[in-house]
Amino acid sequence: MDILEQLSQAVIEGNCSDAPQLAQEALDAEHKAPVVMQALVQAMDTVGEEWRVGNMFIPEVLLAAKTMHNAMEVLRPLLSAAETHLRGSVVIGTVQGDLHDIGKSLVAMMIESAGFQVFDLGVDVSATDFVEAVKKHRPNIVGMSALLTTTLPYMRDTIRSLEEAGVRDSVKVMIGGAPVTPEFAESIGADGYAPDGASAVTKARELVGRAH
Amino acid sequence: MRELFLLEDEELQRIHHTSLRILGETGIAICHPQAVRIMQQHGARVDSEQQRVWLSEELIGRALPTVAREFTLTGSEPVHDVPLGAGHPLRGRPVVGADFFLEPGATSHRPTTLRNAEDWIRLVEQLPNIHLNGSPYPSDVPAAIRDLLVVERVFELSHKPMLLSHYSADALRWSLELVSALPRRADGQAQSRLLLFVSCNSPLTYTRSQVDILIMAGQQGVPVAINTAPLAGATAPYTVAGMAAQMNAELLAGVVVSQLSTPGAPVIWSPLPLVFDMRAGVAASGYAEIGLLLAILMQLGKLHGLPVHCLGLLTDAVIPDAQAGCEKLQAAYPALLARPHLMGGAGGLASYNVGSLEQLILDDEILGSLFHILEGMELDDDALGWDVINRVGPGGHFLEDVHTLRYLRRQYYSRQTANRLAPETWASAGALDTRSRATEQVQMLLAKPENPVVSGSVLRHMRGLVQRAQKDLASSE
Repeated sequence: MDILEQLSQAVIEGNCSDAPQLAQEALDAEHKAPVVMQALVQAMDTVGEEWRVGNMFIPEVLLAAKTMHNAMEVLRPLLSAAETHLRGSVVIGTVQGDLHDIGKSLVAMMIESAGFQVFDLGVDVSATDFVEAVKKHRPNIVGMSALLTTTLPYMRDTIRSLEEAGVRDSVKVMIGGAPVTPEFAESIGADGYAPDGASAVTKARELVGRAH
Repeated sequence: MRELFLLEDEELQRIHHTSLRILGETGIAICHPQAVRIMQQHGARVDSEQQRVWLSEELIGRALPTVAREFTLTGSEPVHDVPLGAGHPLRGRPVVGADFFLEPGATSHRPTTLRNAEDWIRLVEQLPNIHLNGSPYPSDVPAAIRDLLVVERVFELSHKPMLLSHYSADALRWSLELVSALPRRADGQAQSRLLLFVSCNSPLTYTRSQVDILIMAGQQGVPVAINTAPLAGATAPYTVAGMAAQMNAELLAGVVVSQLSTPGAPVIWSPLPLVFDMRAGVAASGYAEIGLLLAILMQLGKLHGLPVHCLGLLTDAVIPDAQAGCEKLQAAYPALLARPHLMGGAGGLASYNVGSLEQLILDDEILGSLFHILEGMELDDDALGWDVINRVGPGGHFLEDVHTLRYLRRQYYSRQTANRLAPETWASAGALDTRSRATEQVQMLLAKPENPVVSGSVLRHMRGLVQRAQKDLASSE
């Protein structure tokens, strides 16, 4: 097995401790940093596919992502910002009034695993905080989560605030959470909706594809 | 018949001991300055800035004995009262607060409408084994008053007490206004009608609004179902034992806050264990181990001397199908043997996210069967049947004996939606499956004429209150 295959295998197996050393060996074997990076992303694509078909569990996917990040630390000094986040970036948070964290965090981790840079604003995030984060990080996507039906109106408020701040057209907005429906997403002018973590990754890729 | 507990005392104590370590060493976040102060005054170690509270075994031991071992939810008249707790039989209740609804015969769910909620409340009112009312929450009404509209409609359409969850103490204040609009009963007692859900936000966090409701309910004498619903592997340990230990700690903390704020405030232990499905990434409730967890949690609640509520009729199925029937019984049965006081989840699908009228019918009958099992059997000489066996003797039959006639209508619980016909007879009678038979029951029961529950003037008063509440709650958002 050549060194890139070994690295790829380490990511798929979630071998956190060996991956940085293997990445270094790949560089020492005169593979260019973007090529090594590409191997990491492809390994995560394999992980994503294995998860989708039911061969891998979410904690294994998260461990694979962590392994990839450890390996990337070796590459980071040699890569441009654009090269480290091949798929784009996402600002994500649970909307104002809602303190439910796990659904949002899961989507954040899964999207990060798929090669996006993620800025997680946490829970109970106001429209103003979303707008500030969009101005600061200039993401491709804004993701909003809610579990309580009473906090759904804040999704609409946040989209309005993005419009008022003149940044709505620079991002795609996707939403999710137990009470959210595709009809609701459409009614508030969101660009996408995902019913679960797996669909959120697919939707994020789709939205970025459309944006570019 | 006895209470049957799954765990040996020593096994149960290992779980409880771990819960005490969680509360004493890790602590719990109580995001409510007043509650933190109350805990501190009673000797708890607190970090006011972090809103973290550490509860010693000694403090918990002081708080638990003040809990009421039983209490009664009042209906519009005494016949509709529901006593819960020590010495009282198991009662049933519907799923409440579901955002989605499955219309009879439909294959896909949609957001609940007010019309759906009204049909639900009307149906629950007629079902004999569902003793509390409460409904899915409508989405086609202003969000700020969806819970209050349900309260108003239950008071309008039902005599039964109700279970509900509020998002804020302000909404609870308006619910109490609606309660006080109800007339006194014939026995002179005021109607109280409400049982409130208060939930821990796992892991180990009580939010400000939930503690607000817990404290206000205690002060107003409104009973509270203290709930926690962690996801194994995501917001609690993945193991059954770890889940039980964390849930026991979370519920104990809620009970302690309640009792130190208002000693004797009526509460009922209401755990809802869920599993984070590691493939689908969603909350799941159809695993067999949910039954194990519920049984252990009922045993823990009884160890503490509390009324216990089993959120047992659980399924991941999205339509009333074989999966729904299998999973609901699988979750409820082990806990049933511990003799809980209230069984929840009737009408719920998809882990309580979807309400279905057909499932209500089916679950009412499941509850009826469970009640019959807990009632046990008569064991006097007549029931033992020596006389009749002696009379009939070898080779005879029992069909015409007076003994058979005496027990004919009460010995076996008969489910209306179950088929007992021979295959050919079933086919010629239309070959209806269980769900279709439930659909027929729904249509028949909803077509019945209604007798008004409240007078026109009470109704106008309540509707006026909801309008005022809408303005008040919208402005306080």
